[in-house]
Amino acid sequence: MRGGHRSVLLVLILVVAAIALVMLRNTGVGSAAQGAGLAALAPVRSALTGVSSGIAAALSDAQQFNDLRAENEALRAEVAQLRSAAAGVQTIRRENDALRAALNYERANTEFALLTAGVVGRDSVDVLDTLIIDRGATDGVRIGMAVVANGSLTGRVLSVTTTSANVLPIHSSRSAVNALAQGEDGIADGIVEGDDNRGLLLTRIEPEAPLAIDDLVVTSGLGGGFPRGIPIGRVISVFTSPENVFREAAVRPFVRAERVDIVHVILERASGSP
Amino acid sequence: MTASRILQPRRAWRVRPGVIGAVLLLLVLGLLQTSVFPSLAIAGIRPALVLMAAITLATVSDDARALYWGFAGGLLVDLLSATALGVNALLFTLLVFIIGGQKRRFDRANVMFPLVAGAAATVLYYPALVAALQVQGFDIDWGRHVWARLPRAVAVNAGAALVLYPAVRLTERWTRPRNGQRRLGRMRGDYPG
Repeated sequence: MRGGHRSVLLVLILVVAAIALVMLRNTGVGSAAQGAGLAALAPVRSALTGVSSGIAAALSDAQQFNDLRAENEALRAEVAQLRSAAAGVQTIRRENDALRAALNYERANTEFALLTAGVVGRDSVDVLDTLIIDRGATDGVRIGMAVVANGSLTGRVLSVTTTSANVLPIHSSRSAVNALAQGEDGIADGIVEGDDNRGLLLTRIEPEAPLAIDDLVVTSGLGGGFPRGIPIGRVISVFTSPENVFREAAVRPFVRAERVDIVHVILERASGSP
Repeated sequence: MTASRILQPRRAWRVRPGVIGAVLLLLVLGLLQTSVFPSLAIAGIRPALVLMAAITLATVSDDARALYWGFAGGLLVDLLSATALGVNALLFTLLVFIIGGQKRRFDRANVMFPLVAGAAATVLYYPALVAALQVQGFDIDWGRHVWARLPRAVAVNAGAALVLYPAVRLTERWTRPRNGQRRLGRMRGDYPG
């Protein structure tokens, strides 16, 4: 009986402690504690993320080689063996390529002040599906800033701690970005939204607006959230529904956020640029 | 008075290896949950390993230790997430208390109990978490993120609870208080067996 009372008392103490922690959020102490915790775990998380994305890539590759395996089992086994041996080299090469691409992008895009960041993990809460990057408020990252990878829009900063930030990918169903589709016939305004199948949907397109398959979709800059002209993807299909006066289009993104290791945060428009 | 106080052995404060093991287990599970499973999601679901470890422990351990695990595990998940610090600590503690409270109705050796407990915890956790996130200002679609995912999440997490069961059981034995402390705990009612 006393044990039961003790448990209830302990629950009450822990619940009060948890609520107190939640209330610390607005004071900045909670954010600082989260930042310190993330900073301490960042190297391990980064290494684990690298290994697991390497494994995921290897699994994906293995699937593509299924046909070849049927034709030549022995050859596939040899390839798998070589792949295994070269796994370490591949990881380094992938990182090297990503860094080189990041450097090239930074050199080619002088109109923006860009901050290079590494993806150190994903949100521990499955529902949120955010990326965690190793740059935070001390590096100038602020909520709402655009995040690009390989020159294309990847997401926006959702929350920031001192040394890290959470990025909401554009494929998230909670993401909405003002965009326009540029084609030979003209420009169509709309909103790019994510869907559950890791694809994108360009919605709220006027019925008469010019829109065709293969049109380039870029940010429109409306609303002041993102700079204008950041590439997002290409239109792959256009459709209408009887219950909706607006048209919609499926968009294939240029960048898949789950495969990204290095990103750029657009801090601001560089001085002197239009 | 003074002499007897001097003669009494002084209790040196030290962390038992088992506790370090438990902390390490939670840490490893937290890192796996956030670093490995995003790339290797099962049926589109990342298993909530830390929650399942805390819930599994609640089915085999005494109430107080399970509550500490739950709180610490929730805090770890908060640290590795965009949620406010304390949200998951609160949810985990309450879930461990609710589900751990049912263990007297079940045979502890029954391996089905962690499975059912993992499933029940998932059913309670997802809606509670989404509600908490909405209170924080996150705009989340219940249909897509809760009801559509819940059946798969229940299956994946229950499976994870079953896989974690041996490791948690081992850690529970490792962190269990020694005989003297255990006898004292039993007198207080911590150990019904």
